[in-house]
Amino acid sequence: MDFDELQKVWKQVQDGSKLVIDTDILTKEVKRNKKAFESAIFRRDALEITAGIIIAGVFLFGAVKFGHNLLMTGSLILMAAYGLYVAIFFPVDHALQRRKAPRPSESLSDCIEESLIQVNHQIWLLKNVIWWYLLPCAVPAALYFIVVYWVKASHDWVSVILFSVSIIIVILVCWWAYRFNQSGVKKHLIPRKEELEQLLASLKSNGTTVAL
Amino acid sequence: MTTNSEIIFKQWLGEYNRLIYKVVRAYGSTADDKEDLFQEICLQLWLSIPRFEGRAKVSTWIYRVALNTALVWNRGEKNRRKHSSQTNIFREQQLVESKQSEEVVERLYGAIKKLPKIDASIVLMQLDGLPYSEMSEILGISESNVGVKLNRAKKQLAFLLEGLIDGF
Repeated sequence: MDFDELQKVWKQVQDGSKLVIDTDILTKEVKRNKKAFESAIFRRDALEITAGIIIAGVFLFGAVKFGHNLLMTGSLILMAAYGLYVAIFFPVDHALQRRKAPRPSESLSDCIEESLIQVNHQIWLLKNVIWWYLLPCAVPAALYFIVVYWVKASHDWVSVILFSVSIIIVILVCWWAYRFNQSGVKKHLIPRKEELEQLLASLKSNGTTVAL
Repeated sequence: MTTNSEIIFKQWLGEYNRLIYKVVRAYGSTADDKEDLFQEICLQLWLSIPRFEGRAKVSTWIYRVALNTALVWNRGEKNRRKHSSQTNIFREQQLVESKQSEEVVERLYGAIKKLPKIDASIVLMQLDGLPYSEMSEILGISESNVGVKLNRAKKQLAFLLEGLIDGF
């Protein structure tokens, strides 16, 4: 049998069978999937905006009500600014990424290249999470604890322990968040990036190496 | 209410469901995986309708969406259909019994699955008789590159189907 004959058998089997699909059920499923996908995105964005605004509101209120001196007010305002930054940064970044998202109606090479750009963006974000996400939160938080400790009249051993524990908790939370993100990069994003790069290389290459 | 997208979607699905099924069969491994991939392709097809301007042939468009989804789709993202209420949305029904031919096609699918993903897509399109120009449009590579890849894929296929075919 040669390729032409194989093609004939292929066609013959296609013609000799039919695919039974309930298009109404499938259409309903597709609509449901689309809705589920859109509402998941909406929920995620809404959650980030709400959390950011609540953080901003709470710390702004704290700054007005409990800001005994410039340093304390300043540290609370920094935390509030961080909340606003979170409320703006995530939805804007998601919206920008959605605009650049690969469209399966483009050619395969374009689609892979755009997917790669997205994966690289996610890797960059998570690898640098300490700079754009953790430090902007940890610095005002640590500053707040330092100021609270500093303005306190008596520096007894209880307040020293409380201050140390607070700072250690901030450091541990940041460290855990950093490790968690790095493990996500290693476990999911790097393999995905390699898979896409391999696919793109295999698409662009015109060598004759047989790789089974 | 039936929208314009819905009418087009149903029309495409009625006419080109086999094309989608071939891609699903070539790239899906388990029954669940195939079901998931089938639905993902349908979803992407639905989302692509507003961008379809009629410049490309409908079959080229659907092939492109189906192959791109199968090749680039991140299987880790498929959880959104985890709680799907529907299963077994499609099934194949034999109209003419031809055991020998079916066995050949079954072996052919097995061999296609073992090919590198890009080569598998080229073989699939070649079996469907797509011209080089259309394959080149779908993949975004030159026609000469399609030719080189097709020859390589055919050699691999001949090796994988040893005993069934004499070589291409």
